[in-house]
Amino acid sequence: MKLAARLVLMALLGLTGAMAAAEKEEAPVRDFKSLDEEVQGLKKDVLKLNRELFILEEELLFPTNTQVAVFLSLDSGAFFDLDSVQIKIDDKVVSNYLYTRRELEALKRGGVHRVYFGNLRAGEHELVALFTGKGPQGRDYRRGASLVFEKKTGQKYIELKIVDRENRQQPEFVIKEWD
Amino acid sequence: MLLIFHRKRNRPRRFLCLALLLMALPSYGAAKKEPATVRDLAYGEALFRFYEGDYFKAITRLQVAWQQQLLPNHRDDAQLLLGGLYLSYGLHQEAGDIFARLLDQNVEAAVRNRARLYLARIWYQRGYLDRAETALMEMRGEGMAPAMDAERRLLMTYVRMSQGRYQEAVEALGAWRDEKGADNAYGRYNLGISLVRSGQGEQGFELLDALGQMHANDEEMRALRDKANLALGYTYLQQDKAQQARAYLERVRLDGLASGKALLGLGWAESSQGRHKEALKPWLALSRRGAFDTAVQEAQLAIPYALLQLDAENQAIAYYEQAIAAFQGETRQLQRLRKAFTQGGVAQNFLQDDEMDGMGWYWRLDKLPPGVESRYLYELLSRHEFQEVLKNYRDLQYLAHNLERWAANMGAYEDMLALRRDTYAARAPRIQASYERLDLGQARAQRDAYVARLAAIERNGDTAGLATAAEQVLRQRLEKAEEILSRYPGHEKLARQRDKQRLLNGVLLWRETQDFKARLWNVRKHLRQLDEQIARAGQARQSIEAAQRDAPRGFEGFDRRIAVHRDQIGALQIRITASIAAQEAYLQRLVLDELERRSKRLDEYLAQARYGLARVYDQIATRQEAQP
Repeated sequence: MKLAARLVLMALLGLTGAMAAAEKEEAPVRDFKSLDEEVQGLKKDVLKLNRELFILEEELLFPTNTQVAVFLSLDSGAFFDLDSVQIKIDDKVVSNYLYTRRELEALKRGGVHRVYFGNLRAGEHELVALFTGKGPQGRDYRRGASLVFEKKTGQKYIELKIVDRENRQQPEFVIKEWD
Repeated sequence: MLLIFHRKRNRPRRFLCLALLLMALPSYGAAKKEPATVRDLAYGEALFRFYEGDYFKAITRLQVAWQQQLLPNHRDDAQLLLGGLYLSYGLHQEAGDIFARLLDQNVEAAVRNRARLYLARIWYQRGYLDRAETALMEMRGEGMAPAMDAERRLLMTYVRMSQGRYQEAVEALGAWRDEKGADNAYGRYNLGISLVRSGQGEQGFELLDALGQMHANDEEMRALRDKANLALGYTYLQQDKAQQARAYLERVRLDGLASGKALLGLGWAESSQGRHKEALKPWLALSRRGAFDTAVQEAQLAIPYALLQLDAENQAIAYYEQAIAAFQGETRQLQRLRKAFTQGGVAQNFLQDDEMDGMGWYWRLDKLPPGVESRYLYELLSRHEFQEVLKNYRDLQYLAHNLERWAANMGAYEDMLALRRDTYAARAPRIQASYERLDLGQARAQRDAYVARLAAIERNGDTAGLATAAEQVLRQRLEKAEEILSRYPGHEKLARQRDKQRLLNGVLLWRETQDFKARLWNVRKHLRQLDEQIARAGQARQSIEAAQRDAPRGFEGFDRRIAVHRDQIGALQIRITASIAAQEAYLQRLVLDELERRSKRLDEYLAQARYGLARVYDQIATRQEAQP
């Protein structure tokens, strides 16, 4: 009884019989690897298909000849704490975006947000962006910037840049057209 | 299976660090300080998704941008970021390929070493021990900070321990084993246990003894210290060295997780020295705890054993009966659980409190949901195998939801395409007809005639050729007047009119001559505008012709792609469903094995209790028969 009980105890603590246990569980380990490899293969295939579907969706919804994308980027945000941005194209509001703290952090670290993705006919258009947030000294700040641009038959990318102007201690709102 | 205890790590932060580190490689031109200077919008967009924690979208954006060649300035940055993201999704093969391709040539040693360390860790966790060891061996001394070297050694120790190469594990840990730190403490504990198991007790005791006496600032380290003392106590118990065993077991805290096993061991230490009364004290204290704990069950068996040594037969009978009842109750509970888990739903049971808000390597289940089964299965939580399968199950569910969304979208896209096709079919003939009415050839001929006429006017200095409509009317009137005046030559009464006609003719000529250049310029300008209009009309016609030619093909192209992707989605959904079932079955097996292990142990205890009880009754009966 005494010996039996103590052996049970030893096994319980994993201090004896480790190798026997390892041999016993060898089959599940092998199974686990094959399952893991299967899941890896699936993940890879899903990611690949996801990419194809994403491209299909874009081409279907936003054909190249009419596609317009507006991006927003931010410097360190020292002089402007962005709350939201409103985008109008040809006097029509196409996007109203309110930023979360997390998204702002992503912007401050170099991320670029695609704030609008849509379609426009070829020709001349006017974009007006209205930025709201807190300016220097935490004051409410509201600024606009506009751009008249020519939409040709290719994709059109426009970047709204909020730049810190150290010398003026003010933010500057710049609109850049990408080729 | 070899049990290796690991610290719970803050994995998301660690992987974020890796990806950030990889992105900030000076050799790749990324900014050395944040924020990164983004020179390709697509890369910036992927970064945005990455920084906000949406890794799946970040991967998709990077892959799409890569395929669409939108990353001319961030090719390597994007690849390395992709590598880090793949790693975070457990796609270690792909991550390994990228790192092997890019890290060797282009990056500084510190970054290369860290990437290899991450790869080695995930390979180790997934059971790819050879690969893990190779990656660790490839880490070079150059650029390796002491902390990184410590991690490398620790991981190498675990890898070798997992392969049963204990002596090599000791060598891997090397002099570092004298260092302080939580990671190090786990390493020393695991190695100490391995050494004791492998018969190199002295080295193992030394490591564990130091741990058993260490100053612990937090609960994690106090728990580890308890484990070390417990392990030493039981090792000495096994060697029949009760005094030493007792010394170690008494170091274990009474309110810690190891207290049950320590109390049990203390009882055995006393009992083995014939101090059965003293043994009863910890065992009785232990027996008042929950009956599901194996240490408690052991105590329930040990108490009547000690009572018998003290000739307290009646009390022993009562405790045996109590133990039998408790074991039977636990057995019924385990049978009920086994029956419930046999019917499936194992993974859902574990994930009932999980938000399923993403997928990734960093996820782990830290707490079992409340329920009777939790107390029987908590040991599973510490097993990589269990965590990895559960993680895979969770990831697969995420992928399944993703595909469900796409499958629903495919239907919407087909409807959209059908609507576009109908709209096109309705509009195309009208547009075609309107363009057919437009004779571009005639327009071009007219334009050419204008150009030729303008050239003649310029060549001949024909100022009247560019006269305005009013001037032309005036000229006609002047010519008419001249013709009338010529019928009456020498008529003196008309001398004034003749002078006036000449004067006006001169004024008109002067004006036409004066404005000739400006008029030439204006006409040329109008001709240029005409050229543009004709060109635009030509382009529009070409576009319409191209649309007429391409649109049906475009519709068909989209139709074909949607059909192909729909099939692919369906095929993947079938594979995912099968894989989810396989993961579920595997989890079910792990759980049922665990319950089975407990059941078998209970059966043994029950048999021992019944045997002990029968023996007591037998002793009493024998004694009664022997009495006169």
